[in-house]
Amino acid sequence: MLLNEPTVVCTPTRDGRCAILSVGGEVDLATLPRFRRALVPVLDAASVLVVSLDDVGHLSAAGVRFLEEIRAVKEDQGGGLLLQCGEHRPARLVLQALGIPVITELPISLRSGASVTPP
Amino acid sequence: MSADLQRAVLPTDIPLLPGVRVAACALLAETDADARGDWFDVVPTPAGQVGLVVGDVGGRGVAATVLTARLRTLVGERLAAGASIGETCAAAEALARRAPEVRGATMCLLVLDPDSGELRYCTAGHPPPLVLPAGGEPRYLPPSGSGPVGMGSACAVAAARLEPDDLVLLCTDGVLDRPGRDATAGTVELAQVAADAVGEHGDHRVPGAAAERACVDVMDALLRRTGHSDDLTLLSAQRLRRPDALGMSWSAEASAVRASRVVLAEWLRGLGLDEADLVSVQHAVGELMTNAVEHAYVGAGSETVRLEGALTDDGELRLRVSDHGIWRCTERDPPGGLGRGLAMTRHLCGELFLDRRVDGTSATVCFRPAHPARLLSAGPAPVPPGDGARDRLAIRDRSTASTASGARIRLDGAVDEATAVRLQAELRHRTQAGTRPLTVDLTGVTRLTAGGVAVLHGAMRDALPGAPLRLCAPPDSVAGYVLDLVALPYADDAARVP
Repeated sequence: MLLNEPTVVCTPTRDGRCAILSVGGEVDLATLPRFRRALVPVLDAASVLVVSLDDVGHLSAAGVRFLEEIRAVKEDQGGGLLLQCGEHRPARLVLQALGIPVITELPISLRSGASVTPP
Repeated sequence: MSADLQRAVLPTDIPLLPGVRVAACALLAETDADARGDWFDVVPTPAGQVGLVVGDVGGRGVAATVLTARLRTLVGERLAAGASIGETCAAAEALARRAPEVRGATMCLLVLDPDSGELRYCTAGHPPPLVLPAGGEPRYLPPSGSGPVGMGSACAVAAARLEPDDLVLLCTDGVLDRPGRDATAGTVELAQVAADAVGEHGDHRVPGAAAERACVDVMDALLRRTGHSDDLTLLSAQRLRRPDALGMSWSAEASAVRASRVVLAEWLRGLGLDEADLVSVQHAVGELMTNAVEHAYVGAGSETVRLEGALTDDGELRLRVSDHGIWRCTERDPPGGLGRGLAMTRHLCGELFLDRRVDGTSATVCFRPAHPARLLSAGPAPVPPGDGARDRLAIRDRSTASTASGARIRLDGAVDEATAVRLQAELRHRTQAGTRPLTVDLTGVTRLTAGGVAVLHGAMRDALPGAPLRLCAPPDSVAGYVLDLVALPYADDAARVP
């Protein structure tokens, strides 16, 4: 596997209502299918998903479109999706250019010691 | 109240230009009332050269800021329209005839040709440029010999040459004339500090990093050594090798998107793009490459996608993705719309041009990369000890009954913005509004700034025929040094009179 391929790490919180998906690597035309495959199994880890994009070096418009599809699915299920990315990170620039809301930091309640069972 | 107005009339972004890296740093007064008339500008010319200007309109407060805006606009527009240095100076002279408050403004106007390294400059009453050769000793270029704006002196233009990697540094008089340093000592110190900043610690892998250091590190070092009593402005330009254009083709496969991204990033870094600009351009072009690969050759055989890039002389980055197919809409594209990819490209880069033809499609994005000018806040202007212009400048009568050439006064102390108004009133009184001759002995002057020079200039200009205002000072004195710089005539007879 090439280093630039997208990785997804899922960390559900203790109460199971929320999960943090940490994404790394590059999401583009070549790697998008793998990104979708990696993300799909963890979609149902919790009703609310926080997708952390700090370590994403490239995020294509198609990658953004996929995240928006996930948002629609989660909202249909009564849950939700929150995108998180720090200042000056590439993914933040892309999301802001497209007018998609993004938070800078993870909510305090999710930051540490909240995980039970990494997948 | 912060000096927002002063900031508003100065450039906040320095354009990225081919073959030269420009950087600027200015220390500005905190309040509008303290704002001085320092200004600078960077102007690409139609001939592919770059105009660099640093000026000082003298005075302070909102009036100085307004003058700054007028002069900067005038000079910038003339240079951008292709005017020569002489024509630009003539336009400033014409402005001074219409607007007398511009008189006495100083500026160093320099035009550099990045390809040949030739530079032409005019030091209109302003400190001359400092050249920092790559691996050589720093040297000041000689003043071109012009006086301040509106004082009737002819525009003199001098020429010099920068070798590749050489750097030229322009400054205002506040940089040379700092607390505890007269202009002579400050001039020597600036050369040393600047040579240290760009010299042995230079990282030549980062294009133009030396230009940034020549401003930011020098400002930092000077402030740590002496503090400041005026605005400080530094503008530097390093001559670099003109960057190669980008041109590369890939076969139209999904892997081409990443391959082109890697090549593009390296090329953009070579141009000296800031990281945020680089990410924007990379994502914008990534979408164009994606479109070309995805849409252009549906079902076709081995075709190619080409990426070309160039930085124009006026600082516009143009990147073109072309293919020989016809872009087709997929089911994901909104009907009649550009799709999210192209929307993203447009948002990230501003301008996008699509050219769809039967034999292929090309998409061009245009982007103006820049890096910020460092506009720093100085805090409240320092109050000089004694808090009064009267304590800082002594004006003594040295007239003798036998003095045929009229009255004579001697100045001791600082002739600067703070004492200029009192000196102006004194000169007006003693010359009876220019109708009596007067000799002004500047031997004891410890500081002579642009504001003070403007007052002396004004009094000389206003003197009627037969009632001249003469200046005298030893050439090796502070006043002598500054008067040489601003090309204001003076006599060396100070020592002969007690």
